[in-house]
Amino acid sequence: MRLTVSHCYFSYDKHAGSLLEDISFDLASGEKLAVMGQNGAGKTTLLRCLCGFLKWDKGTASIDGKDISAQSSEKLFKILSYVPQKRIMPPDLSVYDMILLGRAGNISVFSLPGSADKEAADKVIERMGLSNIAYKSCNELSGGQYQMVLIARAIVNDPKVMILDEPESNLDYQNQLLVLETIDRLSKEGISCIFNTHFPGNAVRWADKALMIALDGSYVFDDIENVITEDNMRKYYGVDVCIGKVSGEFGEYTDIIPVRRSIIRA
Amino acid sequence: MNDLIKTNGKKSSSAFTRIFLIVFPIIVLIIGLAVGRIGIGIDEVIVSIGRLFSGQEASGMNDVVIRSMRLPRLLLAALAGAGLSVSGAIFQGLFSNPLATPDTLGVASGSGFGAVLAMLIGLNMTGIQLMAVIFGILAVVITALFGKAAPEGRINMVLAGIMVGSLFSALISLVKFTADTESQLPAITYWLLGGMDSAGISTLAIGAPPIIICLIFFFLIRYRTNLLPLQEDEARSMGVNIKRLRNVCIVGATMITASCVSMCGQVGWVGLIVPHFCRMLFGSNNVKLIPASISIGAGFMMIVDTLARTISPKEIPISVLTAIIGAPFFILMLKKKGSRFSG
Repeated sequence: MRLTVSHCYFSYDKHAGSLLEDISFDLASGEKLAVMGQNGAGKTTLLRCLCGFLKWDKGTASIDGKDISAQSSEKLFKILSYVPQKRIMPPDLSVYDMILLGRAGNISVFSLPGSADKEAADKVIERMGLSNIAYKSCNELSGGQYQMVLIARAIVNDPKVMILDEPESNLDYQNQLLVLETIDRLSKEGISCIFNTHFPGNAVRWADKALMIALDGSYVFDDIENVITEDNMRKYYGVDVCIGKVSGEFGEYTDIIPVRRSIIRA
Repeated sequence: MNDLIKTNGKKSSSAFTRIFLIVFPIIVLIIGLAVGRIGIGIDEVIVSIGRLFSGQEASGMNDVVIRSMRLPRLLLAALAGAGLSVSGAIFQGLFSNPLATPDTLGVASGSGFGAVLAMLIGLNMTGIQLMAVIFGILAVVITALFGKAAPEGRINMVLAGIMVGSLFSALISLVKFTADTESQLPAITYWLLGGMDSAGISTLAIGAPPIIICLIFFFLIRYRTNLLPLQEDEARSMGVNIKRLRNVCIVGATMITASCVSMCGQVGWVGLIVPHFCRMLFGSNNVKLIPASISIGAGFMMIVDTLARTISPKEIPISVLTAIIGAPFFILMLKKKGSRFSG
């Protein structure tokens, strides 16, 4: 599998200039890409364009050479899946039903889920270790649990690419780790994952590549360690940071500490 | 993990549920046919229905009372109850809002205004119904447009609905003000109170088909309607054309409401309490919720209508009864359900 984005532009308002300008990058099977940038830089917009929810003004994004925007949603969402940002109030469906809903595109309008659909849901529940909460209502779950359910629903069709909108936002440390470890595990099983994040520390530890977007539409795409640098953080986030190794009982990790807002803004 | 539990997470045997949902409205219907100013025994009711189904002529007073008075009336009540309940359940999904109902979204008022306007102009039943549908859809579209401003702001939708509802209520008053006080005004006022007394073969022939067709349709697409409460992008990523589904459901649910309103006036509360009662019993999965709403809605409305015509010498307007039963029941449900009370 190869996801290729080449020379893509997007703007909400044609007169105001492009929000995303001449974006190009590509991603191989099992790679994890972190999309980063300030609020309003266009992270979510990029993800929505990749899913075909928004149409690029120019350029094409394709999976294995097939243009994403040219495919019907029935076909597209068998190879690509989308994990939305958690809402405050999820629907009152059981975890099992919610995951089964991921098969809705395979079920004709007038039918009920068949045995193949139920098997697929059962398998995913096993795989994600959700058996103990399978019959709980989604609106009784903790934020972390619900995020796991959304991820489970996204892999019920065995996609090649999974796109996650702020998967670890609004979660405590434990649940952040649970979600990020899951993303890591799924990527090792061959699913390419694209997620946007507000936490450079998480990106450094968990992503292979990063795409950092500035408010003016410029961006940088490279291996994660080349993207998260003091210069880039100043340029794309407008903050001066200290980047350093932290070592302890469990090994050595890179962390980023935001120190102050930069005096010279991009 | 057995298959019965899987479908909705509640440990109710689905075979028992199914039988109950089929038998409940039938029992209510038979009791409803028996009770009234002229008491008819249950056995006589069954004999009389047998004669009706085998195509025999009406013989005796029982047959006449059942065929020309009680049966059409109860059938209308059953249809209106099932219809309003299902459209309530669908609207709750569409707006992912537990408070969304034909009443709170302004659909009922819009339809009511359309119908009243048609009466003022002197249109026939078909005209009344058409106008009810048109203004019902207009009302829901206005509500949706104004309520959309904040996607997560559920209360906005209901506030917009209340605004649209009161706008159309004002317009209804305007029509009443204009109406002829001798002939039109009493008819309009009485009709607005709601009642099943309009029931006759001719009314049912025009009003019933749209409701029946929409009910069958919603029953058939019930699995897919589970996608309605999801966010737009989220639902699209299930590989489904969500816009088309939403539009079809809005039109269907509005058509049901408008047909009910044009036949039996503004009957409130049913679209709110029946779906919620069913959610408590059967969960929120529409695979079960839609059939349950049809059955319980039909039974509930037949009970209410039977009460309306029997508990006092003069018939009580049905909207008065549904409100008297509905409001306390709803408060009880709110307290009981607590945090789980959500779309």
